[in-house]
Amino acid sequence: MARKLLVSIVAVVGIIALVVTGCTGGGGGEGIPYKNDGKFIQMTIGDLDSLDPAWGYDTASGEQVQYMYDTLLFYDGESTTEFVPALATEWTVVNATQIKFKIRENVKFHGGQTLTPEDVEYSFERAIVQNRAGGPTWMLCLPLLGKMGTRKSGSIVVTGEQIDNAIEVEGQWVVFNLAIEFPMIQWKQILTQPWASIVCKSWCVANGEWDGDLTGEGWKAYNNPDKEDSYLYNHANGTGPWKLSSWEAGKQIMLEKHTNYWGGSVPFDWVITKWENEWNKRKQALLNGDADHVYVPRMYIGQLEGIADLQVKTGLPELALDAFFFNMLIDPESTYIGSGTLDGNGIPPNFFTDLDVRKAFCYAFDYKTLLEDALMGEGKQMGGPIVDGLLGYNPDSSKYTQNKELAVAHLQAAWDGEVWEKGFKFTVTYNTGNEVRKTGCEILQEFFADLGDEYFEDSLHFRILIQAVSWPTFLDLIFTEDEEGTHRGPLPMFMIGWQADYPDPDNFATPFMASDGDFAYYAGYSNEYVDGLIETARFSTNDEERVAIYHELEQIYYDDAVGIMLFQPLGRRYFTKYINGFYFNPTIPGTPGPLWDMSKSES
Amino acid sequence: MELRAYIIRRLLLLIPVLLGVTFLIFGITMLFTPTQRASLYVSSPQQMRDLPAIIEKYGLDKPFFVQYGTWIGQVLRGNLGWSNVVSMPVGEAIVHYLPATLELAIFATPLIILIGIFMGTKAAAHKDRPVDHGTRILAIVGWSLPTFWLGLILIMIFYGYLKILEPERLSVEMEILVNSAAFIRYTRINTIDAILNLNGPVLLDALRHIVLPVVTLSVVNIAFIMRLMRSSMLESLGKGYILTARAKGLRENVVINKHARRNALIPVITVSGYLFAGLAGGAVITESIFGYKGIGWWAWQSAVRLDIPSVLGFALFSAVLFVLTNLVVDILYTRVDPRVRLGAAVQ
Repeated sequence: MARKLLVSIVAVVGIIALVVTGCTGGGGGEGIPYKNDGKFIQMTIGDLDSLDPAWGYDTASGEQVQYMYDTLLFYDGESTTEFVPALATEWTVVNATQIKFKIRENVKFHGGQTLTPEDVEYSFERAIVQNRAGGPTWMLCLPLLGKMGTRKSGSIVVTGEQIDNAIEVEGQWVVFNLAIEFPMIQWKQILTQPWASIVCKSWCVANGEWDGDLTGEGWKAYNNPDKEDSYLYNHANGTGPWKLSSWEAGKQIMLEKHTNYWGGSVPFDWVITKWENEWNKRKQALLNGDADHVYVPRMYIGQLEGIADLQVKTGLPELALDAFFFNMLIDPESTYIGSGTLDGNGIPPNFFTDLDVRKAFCYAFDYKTLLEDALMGEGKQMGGPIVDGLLGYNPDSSKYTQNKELAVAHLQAAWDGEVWEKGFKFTVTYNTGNEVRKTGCEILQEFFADLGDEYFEDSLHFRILIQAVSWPTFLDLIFTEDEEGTHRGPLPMFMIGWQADYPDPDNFATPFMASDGDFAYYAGYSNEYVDGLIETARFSTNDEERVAIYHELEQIYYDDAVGIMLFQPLGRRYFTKYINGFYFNPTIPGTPGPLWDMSKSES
Repeated sequence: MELRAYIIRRLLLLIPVLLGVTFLIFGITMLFTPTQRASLYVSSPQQMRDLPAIIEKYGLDKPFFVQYGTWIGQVLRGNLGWSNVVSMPVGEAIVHYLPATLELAIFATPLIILIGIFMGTKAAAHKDRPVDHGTRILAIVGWSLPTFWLGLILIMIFYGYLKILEPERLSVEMEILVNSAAFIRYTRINTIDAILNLNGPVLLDALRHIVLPVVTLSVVNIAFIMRLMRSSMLESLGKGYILTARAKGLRENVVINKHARRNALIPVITVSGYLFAGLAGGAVITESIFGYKGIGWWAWQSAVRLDIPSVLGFALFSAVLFVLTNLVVDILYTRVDPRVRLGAAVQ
């Protein structure tokens, strides 16, 4: 009996010892060793979609493409509006619809081919010919063809001649003939992004890609292909500082130094990106010196505090924005609006068309708690859709703060006092795992429960239910069109974020406020005056005029309570102390930053 | 002759099994809306405006039988579809990720079986004595430990503190080496390839990386084999021929190891077959925790991201694997236990 007890005690003590050692974190305080000289190793989450520059629309693809390919021009350091030459040595704006670039000579591709202006022409034409559904090439199609894409309802609506005429070669120069008066600053911004990378024509054609012929109908066979049909999805031959060595999707991508790089010496012999979703492993790799840079979710910041051999860059304003959208046209069949009428057990489908309802919700929201608790201070409250870092950003724009008296006043005025009298009930959703969105929903729920309790002694008088759904379901609920092609989605409210395609305010004003904007459309927000302003600003070449319009749009966003405008996230980067040269340009995809300007050394 | 007929019959049974499995899975995935299934091809909110085009392109709004029929038609032409989560054809993904999983199974299975048999025999031979209690406690603890927890603890101790063992399959240096032209990847099983390339450093590195996942898998699975072996042994030890053996004056270890253990092994063999099949079919959590990216990791990623061609491909692979394992185990029976006659089943 005594032995039995002894054995049991030993086993239990053993397990406790294991747990304690595990829970104390690991890593110790002995400093991070210098490892893997000449190699930059990052560990991050997720994976990339494709290595084809014309295909990838996700940050991870863009990051790797940027390491391997070059664009005609690039941003000057941290600026998003000043440019420096890259594969183009100079450029001239001929007129409002024409700009030309002189192509750099003696530039070598990884495969040894020499860059020609024909490669540049081919790269853009190929991207447009491909124009895959859901891809980034609308940004090329809009200025060059005057259309968002090459197809409408499944049929091709542009001719080979149109594509051919949009980009021409004149000696060492490449000329872009824009179909519309598109602001050149925006066009240059688009040209610095990964989807405007220059590929090698002869190599592409030799590997079964489109042959460059736009005269017949043959090019149409290359339109909207399957990802795997593009040779470039897992092969690369750019002029960039690193060349593809191997890519194992979901595991890692290894890039090796391009020894003939036109830009001179390349700082790392290898750039290796490993995908690892498990935080503890990323953390250990960083602390053991096996990774130079890892992705650190906000909730784990505390675990890396006080480690001397780490350098942390904080407060980096990302070109992104999160907001709650009110759905003005909810699907009457929705199961998220209770009874569907204002009887205290639901809301009508047009509930949020009442300005007082919207304002009440804007005053109800506790912005401070969201920023301090959920975002741990890593966000900046916004008043309208134009974020810090863009032309037209207004740090003094009107912003809502939580104000119970005003929320009550607007609620009492809404729907002729019916909302106040009868109360409401509806459901808000967030995608599982997104703690910030979850907190956002809880903030609203709590405020209205307290309000009901205080004024009606019934915490369920104003009732907001919260439901967590998977990411695909969340998207499905927001981006829904009914059979008549209207946007009547089932969600009464939704919180979602936007990331910039290119650093121009139009890329934010449109999705958040234009009646056909990516988000505003699904929220049913439509204001002709706003649409007019957005269009004027989009095509204006006068910066002062644009700034004035964007300021006005921000004010309208506030006055009209278009949504509950929340925050611009502030980024954070962790490197070991051996990495030097980081600077922040929000347009560079991925988190390591400008690797071509960075270095690694033990001292 | 009888055996061959039996094998053919069992293999033919594979066809309805595969049809049933894929029909069921395909049916379940149809519970998701076309938009939900299209989300696999979407990585940013910007792409939402093209959702209808994506749905149309992949035919996600077609009726169930049309979609299933299209898929079956492609499978019959040898095309299992495209695995979006790993950016390669599904067939290629199975071939690509199976070696890592096989490597784990090859190292873990013998360890699990041998230790399990050894501990089970000891426990039964010392029934109700400290050895028995000790092994039983170990079994309960091992069996109860969540794999992900044990994996994380091992990583923290051996990678975080002691810095002697690492996750993943190879270190960066060796990864660069095996991906270079100087190293031929015959099987993609690193240890075997290292031996075939006569490359000591790669072999040592691969072994150093495989220790933790193998230990994790073993701790959890040994308990199962041990418990089975113990009860089977106890049953054997109660049989009359053991009494006879002891009455003959045979030494105890001969009685245990020769007479009792051999007979007690039959159920263990059955389970071992399934154990290997289970491990070869992917150790989802272990592979994910240790970054030992094999077929289990791939299946998990595919399921999480609703990558339907991959999930179906994995289901086909698993079904084939289990049916074949069943067959092999049945055939093995005839070798271990002469009383079993497969032919009888045919008649």
